[in-house]
Formats: sequence, structure tokens, C-alpha cells
Amino acid sequence: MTLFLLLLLLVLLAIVGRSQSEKIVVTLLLNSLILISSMVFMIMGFNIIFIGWLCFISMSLLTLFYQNGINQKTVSAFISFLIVTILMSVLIWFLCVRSGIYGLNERSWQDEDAVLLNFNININMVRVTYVVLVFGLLGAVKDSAMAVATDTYEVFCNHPDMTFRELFQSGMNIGKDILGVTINTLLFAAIGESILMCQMYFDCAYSLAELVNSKSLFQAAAVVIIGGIGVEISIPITSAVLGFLCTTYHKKTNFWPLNNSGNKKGLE
Amino acid sequence: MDIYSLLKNSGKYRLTIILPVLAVLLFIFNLIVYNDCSIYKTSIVKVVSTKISNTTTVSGDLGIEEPQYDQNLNCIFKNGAYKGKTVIITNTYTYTRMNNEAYHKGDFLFVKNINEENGTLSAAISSQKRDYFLSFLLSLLLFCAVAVAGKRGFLFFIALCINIGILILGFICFQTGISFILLTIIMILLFSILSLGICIGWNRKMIVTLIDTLFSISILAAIYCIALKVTPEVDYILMNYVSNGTLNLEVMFTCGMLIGSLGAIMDVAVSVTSGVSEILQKEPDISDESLSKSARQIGYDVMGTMINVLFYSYIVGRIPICIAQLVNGIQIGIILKYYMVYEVLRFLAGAIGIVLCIPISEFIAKNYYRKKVNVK
Repeated sequence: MTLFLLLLLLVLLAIVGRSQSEKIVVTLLLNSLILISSMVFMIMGFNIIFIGWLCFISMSLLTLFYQNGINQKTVSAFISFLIVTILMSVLIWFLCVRSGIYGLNERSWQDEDAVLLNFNININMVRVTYVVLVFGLLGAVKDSAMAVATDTYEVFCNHPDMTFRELFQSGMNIGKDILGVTINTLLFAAIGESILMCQMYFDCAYSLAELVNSKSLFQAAAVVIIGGIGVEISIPITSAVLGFLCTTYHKKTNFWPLNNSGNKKGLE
Repeated sequence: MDIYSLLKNSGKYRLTIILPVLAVLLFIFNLIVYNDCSIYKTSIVKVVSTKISNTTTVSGDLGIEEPQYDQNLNCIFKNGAYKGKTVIITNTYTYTRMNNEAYHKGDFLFVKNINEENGTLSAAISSQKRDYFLSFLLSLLLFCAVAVAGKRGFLFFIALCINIGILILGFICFQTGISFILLTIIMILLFSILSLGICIGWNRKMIVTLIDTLFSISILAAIYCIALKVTPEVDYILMNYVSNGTLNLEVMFTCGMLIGSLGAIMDVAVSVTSGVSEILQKEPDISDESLSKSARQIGYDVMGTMINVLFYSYIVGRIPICIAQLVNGIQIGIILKYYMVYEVLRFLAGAIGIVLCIPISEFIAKNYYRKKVNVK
């Protein structure tokens, strides 16, 4: 089944995607490789947060610069990426320590795949959960930051004499359009994942009080909400960074050549 | 540009009034949730101070040594018959904290088995009170949405709530015995109409995008059902949360997978359709070939990103349990084959949906807008 779907995906990618498909496949493979090696390093006893950030930066470099090339758009997306993540890290760390979001929830520790395991493994799950939540931000924030950066840059290329303020505002306008769609993606992914969990709440006759305090709901909701907040704050930050790079920085140094199709010329 | 920036500024002035009001309202709401212990029937205690009384080294079957802490929690009852009285509860946690939790000063805990002997109380922790964290996160989401996108942000938040309402309603209907397949079809329809209506607005473009989305998701469903038929069956025994023996897990899983792909497919459909309509507005005489080419280019850009979003949201969540399994000596191949198979299947199906959606929405959008131009 898995193999069949995998082959189908590859064939479809080859037919539809053509030039881009190999990049997508390579990125996915490398990302999986980074994830697996990060787990191995965590097990070997390296500092979990350090490993997490190393993987985070290498994965974002990979997804941004390999898939989209090096240009103003990706650079500003990457900078805003880092700022958003650092801001969100504070919130995530607070949640990890205080709300007990780590570890197994009240349902999953009775599961057959968990019940046989031994959990005296000397790996701090608070830190692992922190890393997992930061990774979770990556996909959503990359989506919104890249969308804002690409479209605003397009506007800038058509009107190269725009001021910082105008660029920032056009970035915010574009952000409004993509905000809802991106968070919907996260929401529906989470709903689809927790269909059986919802049924379980009915089977076990959860009361409202039990439901809003349950760890399983909180774990599922926190991923979506943190991703959503990340997407929201990435919009003004990306607009500001791109505005700065395009106006002030560009005029001062003339370092970045203007080009319309960063995708192809990026690596020149 | 002038009128445009003026409009923008008037919106800014309104926002400067609305935002503080919203902040105050949300603050009051959070304060209420934080102090709502009296409406709970279960006893709640608040941790006043904590002290680690004992540290030992434990090792399980694996022979890995790790510290284990005994924590003395000095707590005060916040509701019920014992309100105001103090109790000392001992909590034990390990360094790993996979199946136990450490508590901190200021946490609220639900307790059970309350006993009173010679004037001293004893109790056992059942779980932590988390409703105020949830309300805090939701308020932050709403506040940022309004701050960034103004009225549309608010509308979007309402849509989020209605979507969750639809889900709950669907499950209530399911309990009465309506088939889950039918309910999923209705839910997908409602979800996509509502979300697209809020995101794009109620106009022609939304209808085109809606047709794209529904068409793509039905093709994805058909492909997945064929795959189910022709390939060996997936074992759903290890699926989480199985407690009801009468459920058809295959149907539940397939429907969940379709709903999970819906968001990503909608995203791609929106980008491609808006792109095509934008291009046709600017250059109505563009040739079919170059239109296809630009639409595809938009599609490729979104495709890579969306596949990555799905990858992170599905696969990454399994890391903690995966680490535990690896340490317990289960090989990575076996984990991928048996324990993570549901996540992998969801991811693959979602990715197929995304890739399928590009030519479909390109085709539909092209024909629709072309026709409109020709009629004119």
C-alpha cells in the first residue's frame, strides 16, 4: 500500500512537475535523513536543543535555498523565519515547561505500541517536545513567508522606486490573502489526524470539563495554534525585512541584482 | 495609489481603537478562565510551593540509568468542601518525563481520593488543569489575526470556530448512526464552501476554486480506494485510540485522510486559480501555451512548499515516540513499516492530492475564464 502510493506519487510528480519534481524529491529525502540523524544524535546524548536548532537551520536552508534559489526573496524569508522562530521559541518553551504538553497523553500511553516500551531512557522529553514544536513551525512559516516575499518582490520589480512604507503595506495586503488559506491547511491536517480521537471522546463520554483540560486535545490544538500565530507574525516581519532589503540595503550597497525570475537565476 | 493608501490609513485609525478594546476583552476572558475553579465539580488544588525531597537513580529493563525525583507539592484547595485548606502531595517524575510530569509553582491540578486523617489531608493527582493555556493560545491567535489582517482576520477566526463546530456536529450525527462516508462528504462540502468563501469572498472566483477543490478531492478518493483494493490490506490494529470495536477503521482512516488533504488542496487551488485570473486580466490575448506555462510555474512553486508543510505537520509529531522506540531497540525499518505507517500514508495521499490538483485547477480555470472572454 505504502509502496504503491509512493510509486504513484513519484510518477505523478514526474509527469506534472517535470523540472521541479527532482528538487522536491531530493528535499524530502534530505529532510527525512536530517530528521532521522537528529533522532540518532539525540539518543547518543548530545544536547537536544543544540541538535534541534542545527537541524532546524539546515532544514530551512535546504527547503528555502535549494528549492527556490538564493535571492532577495529567499534571504528575506530566511531572516524573517529566524526572527519568528526566536520569538515563538519563548512561547513554546513556556508551554513545554508549564503546561505539561510533553510525553504521552492520557490515551496514548495505553496504546499497544507504547505499552511495551521502557521509558527510562534518560532523554528529556521537555526538550524534545520543544524541538518538535519548532520543527512544526517550519513548514507553515516557510509557506507564508515565501508567499509574502515572492509577491511583494514582484510588486517591487514593477515599481522599483517604492518606499519602505509602501512596500511594507503591499506586503501586509498580500499577507491578508494568504493568512486564512495557510492556517486552514494546518487546521484540516490536524482535524484529519484526530478523527479517531474525536470518536474516542464520544466513546469514553468525556464531559466538557474533561475535554478542555485533556492532554490529547491540548497537544493536537497547540500545534495548530502555534503554527497559526507563527504564520500571522511572519507576515509583518517578512514585509518589513523585504522592505528593508529592497530599499535601504539595496540602495546603500547595490549588492543584489534585480531579477524577475529568481527561481532560475538564483544560483548564478 | 493615493485613494488606496487613504483607505488603508482609515483602516489603521479604526484598528487603533479596536485593538486595545479587543486586548482588554481578551484579558478579562483569560482572567475568568484562570479563576474558574468554582464551576468545576472535581476538586482542584493550586500548587503554592514545590520542593524536591529525594533524588534517586533508577534504571529500567534497558539498563540506562537516569535520575528520578520525588517532588513535595504544597497545595491549597481552590473549590469544593475543602476550599482554603492545604494539602501536601508527593509527585514522582523521571528525567525523561515520558509518562510522568513535573509540576511547578502556580499550576492547577485536579485531585482525587481525598482523605482526612487526624486533621491532615491527603490526595492523589489525576491531571493538570489546562483550560487557561488553551484560552490563552486562542486569544493570542485571535489578537494577532486582527492585528495583522483587521476585519478579515476576525472573519477568518470565526470561520475557524464554525469549522470546528461543523466537525462536532458531524460527530454528534455520527453517534445517531448515520454513515460516516455520507457525513464526511457533507463535512468536506461545508468546510470547503465556508473556508473558500471567507478566504476569497463570495464571487465567481470562489466557485471556480470550489469546483477545483471538490474535483481534485474526489479523484484523490477514487485513487485511494483503487489502491486499497489492489494492494494488500493495511493493518489498523495499532491505530491510536481504538476503544470501540464496532468502528470500521478503514473507513474512518480514509475519511480522516481526505479531510486532512483538503486544506492543502484548497491552498493549491486558490493559488493557481488566482494566478490564472490575474494573468488573463492583465493580458486577455495571451496564448494557451504561455498561459499553461505560467499556471504550471505557479503550481510548482506552491507544490514544493505544500508538500513540505504536510511533511512537517504529519511526520514530525511522531519524533518523541519514535525516539523511545529506537532506544528500545526497534529498528527504523520496522518503525516505518508498522508504527508510522498511518502518518506516512496520510502524507503520501496528501502529496498526491496536491500534485493532482495543479493540472486539474489549471484546466478548469483556463476553460472557465476563456469562455467568459469569448462570450464577451
